[in-house]
Amino acid sequence: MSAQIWGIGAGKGGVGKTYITSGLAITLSQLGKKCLIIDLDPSGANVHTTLGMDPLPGGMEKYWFEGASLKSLIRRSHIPRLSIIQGLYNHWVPTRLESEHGLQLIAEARKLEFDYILLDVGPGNSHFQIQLLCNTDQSILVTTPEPPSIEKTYRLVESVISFNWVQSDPKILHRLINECLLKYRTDLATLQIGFHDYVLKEFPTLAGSSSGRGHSKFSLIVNGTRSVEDVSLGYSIKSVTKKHFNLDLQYLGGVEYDNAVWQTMRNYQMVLVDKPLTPITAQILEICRGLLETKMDASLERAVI
Amino acid sequence: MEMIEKPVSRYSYYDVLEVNPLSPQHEVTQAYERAKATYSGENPAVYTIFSEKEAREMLRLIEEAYSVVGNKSLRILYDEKLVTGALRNEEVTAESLQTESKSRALANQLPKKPKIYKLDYPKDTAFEQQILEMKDWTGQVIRKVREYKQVSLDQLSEITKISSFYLHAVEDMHPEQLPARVFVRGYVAQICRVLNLNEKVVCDSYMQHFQTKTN
Repeated sequence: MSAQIWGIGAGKGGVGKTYITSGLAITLSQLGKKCLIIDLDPSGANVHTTLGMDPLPGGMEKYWFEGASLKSLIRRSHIPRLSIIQGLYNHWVPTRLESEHGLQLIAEARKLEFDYILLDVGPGNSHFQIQLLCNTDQSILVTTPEPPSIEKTYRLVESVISFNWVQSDPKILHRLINECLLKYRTDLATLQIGFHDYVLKEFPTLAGSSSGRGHSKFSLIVNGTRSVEDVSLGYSIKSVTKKHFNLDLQYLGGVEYDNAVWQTMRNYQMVLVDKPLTPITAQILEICRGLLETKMDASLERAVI
Repeated sequence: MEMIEKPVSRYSYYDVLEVNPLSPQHEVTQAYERAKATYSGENPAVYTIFSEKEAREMLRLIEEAYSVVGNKSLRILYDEKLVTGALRNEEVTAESLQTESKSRALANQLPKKPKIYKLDYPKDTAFEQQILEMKDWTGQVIRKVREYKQVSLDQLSEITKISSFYLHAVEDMHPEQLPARVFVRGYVAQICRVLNLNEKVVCDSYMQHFQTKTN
């Protein structure tokens, strides 16, 4: 069986993508799965730091610019069954990765012999990142409970959705969406349809054929929760995303704010390894359980069909 | 991602609450509580997506949906329309469902007819007349009528679900073998219904005799 590929992304930086990525990978490897993290954050990669590994020459820059294979770049971590491919290192120049790069990477990653491959996609909504998020088996969006972070999560969702709309000219797409939004906002009855469906009703050609569209399942983690309300925010985001964008987000749960996270990080340690007796361990385990269950549901669905 | 295959149509009440149409009632209520928390007040999850006015409208939809799906009989009616596809053709609102449910309930509410037991026996007109005019009812008389109408104690016991021991005691008027007086009156009333006798006259008279027996 080929590896399951999970992408971890977010609209905003600093919400804990890398921390969640390593947390999930550590938990999965503790569950006996062979895991690989590929650090794809174009804005400066640091999965190695969260795992307490020194950066070495021989990260993704070798893959993108020197034609090295992914397999040759795999480094084992000190955690059993967990390996990483380090992100860009000693690269200096601004990255210019396109959506084809994303597809190429996923195709090659599928051939690697791992149970789970986690892609740290980094913050933002470049074509490269959206392509990655749309073509994994599972894409996990991370947000914090603060409004700026939630707001940027919606901007990312908007990019994901319009990325699948067939319109090569961004200027025309921009105009269409804005025209629609203006009309949509003036009539409260349109709420009954949702904006996503409203746009497609107005411009049916946007939907195009289903080929070439991504197939990812999207899910959500709220990181750094400090109250029950913060945890239930995830359900609200899920609801708004469904109603407005008609995108099914599976809410995986919240991960509590814990001082142990920054305390261990200052010592270049990962909290799940250095201080495993925090509530976070259970919360990330619960999230993994949710993710593994959906995978089982999908295979069950196939079996039934 | 399966975002586009779904035909563009109005939300069903289940879509509004984001709950599976097969969900049990407690899940519907939980979904309602969550939806209410999302669209009322200043939830940061609504920020930049829904305006205040839109959130209020969404909340109204949620309340309407729950007033139907959260109500057992209205939900059954709505599900019926959902399954038969009637929703696509008619404008269904919480109000229209309520009116329909009420009119249905009224139509189903037939006046309860007392059950008449058909007894098959050779009729004696003189005796029938005597029964009709009879004012003085004792256990003895009840037994006589019962035997005339050819109902055995076992049959009577089966219909009334009163043990034949008690029925026997009622006819023999043995207070010591019977429970409290109210129960005895109940037994007699049930016997009257089976034997098609005037319940009030028989019970009143019998209980008077029963009282003197007790003293």
